[in-house]
Amino acid sequence: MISQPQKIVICEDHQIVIDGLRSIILNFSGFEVVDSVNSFSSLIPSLKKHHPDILLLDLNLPRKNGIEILQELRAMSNPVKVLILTMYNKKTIVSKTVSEGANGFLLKNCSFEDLHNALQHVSENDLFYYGEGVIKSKKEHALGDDEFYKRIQLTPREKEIIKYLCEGQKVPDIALSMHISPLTVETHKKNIYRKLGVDTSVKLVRFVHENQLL
Amino acid sequence: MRINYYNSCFFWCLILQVFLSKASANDTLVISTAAINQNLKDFTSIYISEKEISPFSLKTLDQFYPIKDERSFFYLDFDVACAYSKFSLKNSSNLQKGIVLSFSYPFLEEVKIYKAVKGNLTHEGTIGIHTLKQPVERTWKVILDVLPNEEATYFLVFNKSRGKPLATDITLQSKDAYYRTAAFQNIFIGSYVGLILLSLLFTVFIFGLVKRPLFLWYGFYLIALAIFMGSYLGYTNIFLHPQKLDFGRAIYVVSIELSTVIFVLFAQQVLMAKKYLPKLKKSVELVIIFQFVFRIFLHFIANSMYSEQVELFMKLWYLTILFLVIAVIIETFVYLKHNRKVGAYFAISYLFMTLGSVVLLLHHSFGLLHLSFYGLPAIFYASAIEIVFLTTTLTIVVGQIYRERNTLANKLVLQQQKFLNAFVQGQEEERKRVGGELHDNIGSKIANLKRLFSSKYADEKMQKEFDDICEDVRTVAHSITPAEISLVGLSGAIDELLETIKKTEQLEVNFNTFQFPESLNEDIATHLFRIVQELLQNVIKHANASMVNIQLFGHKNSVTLSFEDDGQGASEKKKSEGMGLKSIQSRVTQMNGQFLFDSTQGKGTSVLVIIPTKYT
Repeated sequence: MISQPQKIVICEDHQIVIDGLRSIILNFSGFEVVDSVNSFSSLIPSLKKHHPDILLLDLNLPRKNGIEILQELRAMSNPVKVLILTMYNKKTIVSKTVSEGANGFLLKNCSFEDLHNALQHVSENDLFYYGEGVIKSKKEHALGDDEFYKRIQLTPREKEIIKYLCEGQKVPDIALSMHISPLTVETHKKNIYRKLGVDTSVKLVRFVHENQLL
Repeated sequence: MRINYYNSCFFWCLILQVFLSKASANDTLVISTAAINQNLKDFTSIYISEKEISPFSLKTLDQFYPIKDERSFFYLDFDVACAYSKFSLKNSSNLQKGIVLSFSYPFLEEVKIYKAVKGNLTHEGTIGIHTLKQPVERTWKVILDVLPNEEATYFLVFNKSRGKPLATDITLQSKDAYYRTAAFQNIFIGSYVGLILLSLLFTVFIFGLVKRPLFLWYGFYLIALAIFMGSYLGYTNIFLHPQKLDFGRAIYVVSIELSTVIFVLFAQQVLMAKKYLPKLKKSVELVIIFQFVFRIFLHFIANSMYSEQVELFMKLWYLTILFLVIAVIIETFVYLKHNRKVGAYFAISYLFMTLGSVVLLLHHSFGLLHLSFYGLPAIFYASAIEIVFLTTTLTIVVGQIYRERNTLANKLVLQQQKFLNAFVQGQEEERKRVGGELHDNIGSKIANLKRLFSSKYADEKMQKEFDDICEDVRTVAHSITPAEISLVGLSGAIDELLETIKKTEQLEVNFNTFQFPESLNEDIATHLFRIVQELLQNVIKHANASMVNIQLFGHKNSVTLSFEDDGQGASEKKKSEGMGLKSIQSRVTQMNGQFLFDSTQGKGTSVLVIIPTKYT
């Protein structure tokens, strides 16, 4: 069906894993491992030389990690299909690789069928491939009222300090009446300003009133 | 003594003066309306006898013989038993004049004053510790009343025990001059006592602080010195019962000996003689003990038993004093060589004291030197200067000790901090290594084994077994190292952490970031992650909280972690305890940050960690 086998480059720092993958893929028709490298520095020349269709990329690599390599490749607009192969099964990591432009995510303890499916899937399909057992990341929250509401959530301590600040009290006085150090108050104040996106006490008071924060 | 010569001098300074005035042939003092301040020795001469002559009368005058004496003061040698001096007062004014005849030496044994009236002697007064006839002040004095236009001749008769030389100034003053001098003396003496008390207080205070016996010895020295000076200035005559005035001289002898002993022993310690001149120190200690015993023996026993040999004994005693003086001077210079700054103060104070002592000795024992100022002896001023310098020096020494101690304490704290930092760092590295090894190496190998196995055998059970092992390895690896920080950043790692906590704990955790930099230094991120982990563990274990707010803020030059819970809060005592908070503190210190922990019972806990960043 496919005349030309899909060229695969493996980027992985454990030789035993490379050997294992090679021996398994040898049995897959239509796929051929053309090269294996163990770091970013040797990956780039290999990509230039072989122009592979698929890159099997480990996340945990010396010096530059897999996600950084993925970012580099996409920044260079390299079209190679990237299939992440890792031990990490974390929602955050999965969603990170999705957003950075990977094409699939496989766990290292995947079965040979899963590997085959993954290779088949990424070579034909643009949809992200989730390997067996991979935790699917939820869709990102849309930025909107919800996000804004989250942003201006105040902790009890911050509320207390804002109350004093809105009364026009100065940091040393607040520290005295709250029995905490002036630096603590100052830090909270700085955090509140950053959180609410204000930079003066006048703006703070206005913001608090407009949004009825207290 | 020439008090009127100094009266105009406001800035009192110690001037060495050796009076060698010539005895005047004319023994009459003319009293006019002007104030009188006259050294009796300047216009009279002394007649002595080695036998006791009693009673004294005009008929016994030929048993005395004159001595050629060029001293400015009265000096009666060891073997003199009796002596007299004759002088006349001529009142040229029309007013009656009271002339105060005062003696500087407080331990006069017996001095009688006679007035020659028409070939007869009338007894004017007797003073002295043996036969006291009137209440005394600090110094002995007799008031001679001279009628208008009267010319009177007086005989001053000394009786003393053999073996004890006598040296005293005798001054004739009109009352106004006498009281003025006395006022100055009182001011000086008062200042001296104040100085001693201050130094004593200071020394006791320092002793309480540093607990060095050196300062206790200095305190004893000050007390002995004060007693000696008090008795030498005549205060024993006031405080003791009139019948027991002789006891004052014993106090004088014992206290001068005691202060000498303490002074010398104290000098051995302060000048570190043990270190620099150990041999000299040993001989000094031997000599000082011998000297002390010998002087006591001389004073209380030898005088009455071997009166013939007393002079020889005294010379032996002076020899020991000379040795001690030289020894202390040598030690002072050796110390000066090693410790220039502090040594200079010691040198000055010791030189003053040794000089003062030598002058005192020469004056009273040989009648050689005489130094006095406002009627107060040189030793008085010398010891005052000595105390000032010694107290100053000891303060400097204490300052040095304290500085050394402080730097040592600082070093210790720093060392401890270093150890803790190294511990935390080592722990982190070890976790990283073990976690990485488990996760990457062993995990990969097992995964590979499973894949190879699954390509050959389709055994579901076996595959499940492999998956379980992989999952276990992953869980263990993850629990010891947050390797995903490098992959997903600090906020991603904290998200993951909260994900696992949500599964097991009934705890609502809000986590938000506010312009927190994505590309934070990995070391800082790891530290902050560990801190969050530690704080969460604390909350779960102790706080009994239901809600936690974790926030990360990115500021212009810093990042801030804010961690709040609504738990029961920690008591003051608990805050300082626990490895958890200590390791957090250590991590924060390693990042040059600040750790603000504030917790009140029942109001929850708020933690702020501020870390400076190089980013702008």
